[in-house]
Amino acid sequence: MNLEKKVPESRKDVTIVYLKGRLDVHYSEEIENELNNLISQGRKKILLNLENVEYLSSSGLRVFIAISRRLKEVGGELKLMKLNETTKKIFKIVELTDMFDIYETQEEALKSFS
Amino acid sequence: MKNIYELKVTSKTENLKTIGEFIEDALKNENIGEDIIHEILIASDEAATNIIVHSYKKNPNGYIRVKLVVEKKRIIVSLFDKGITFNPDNIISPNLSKKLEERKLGGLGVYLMKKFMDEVTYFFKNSNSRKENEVRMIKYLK
Repeated sequence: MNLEKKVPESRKDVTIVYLKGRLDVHYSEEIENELNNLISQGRKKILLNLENVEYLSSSGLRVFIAISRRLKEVGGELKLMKLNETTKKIFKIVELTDMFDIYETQEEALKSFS
Repeated sequence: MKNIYELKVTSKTENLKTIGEFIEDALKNENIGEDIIHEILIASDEAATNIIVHSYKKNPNGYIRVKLVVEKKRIIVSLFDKGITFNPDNIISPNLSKKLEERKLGGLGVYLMKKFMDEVTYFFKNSNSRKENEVRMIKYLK
């Protein structure tokens, strides 16, 4: 799993994190650490771009839940974008679709941050 | 008519991808539909993850043996290990009605296995002379 970060010009208070590859137990700890580091550095508005996530397991879901909780505690926000069909299906089955803010486009997602 | 595919890998987390690719290739070889393949892959990955995390406590020196049986009306995926026997009945199902802040983080893997497969059965080593734990998952084909 590959992780890249970018701060968009239009919203410098947001960090877009691009995840690519498999998000399973092998990578989940590393991803969670990276996201926690961002939060520790004061980056409290995080947008996860999941367009290139080939596979998402329950380990990955747990990372999203844990990071979402941590951000809420510090007054931050976590949003997700560009879920593929398989990822959407998993979110639906574990009833997380309504628990996260999920967007199809980056523009919509960035506008939604407070 | 049945075709059997077998694989044995070490319990390194990297091998989750190997197991997934093995199962996907085998099922494509059997002309199984994409949707069914995805569901079996998710269930198998969750089962293998549980073995690595709970049976082997992430020790990479164990093994996972995968046996895939494709029959006309059903697909059976069995994963075998020699780690600690863990009782799936001790895994509390996630309470999906709770808000995100209140949800327990565990139990999602077993939940997904049961959602995507028609049957999930556990067999424990040392019972009935078994030398390995086995999780057997069955998907019926329409």
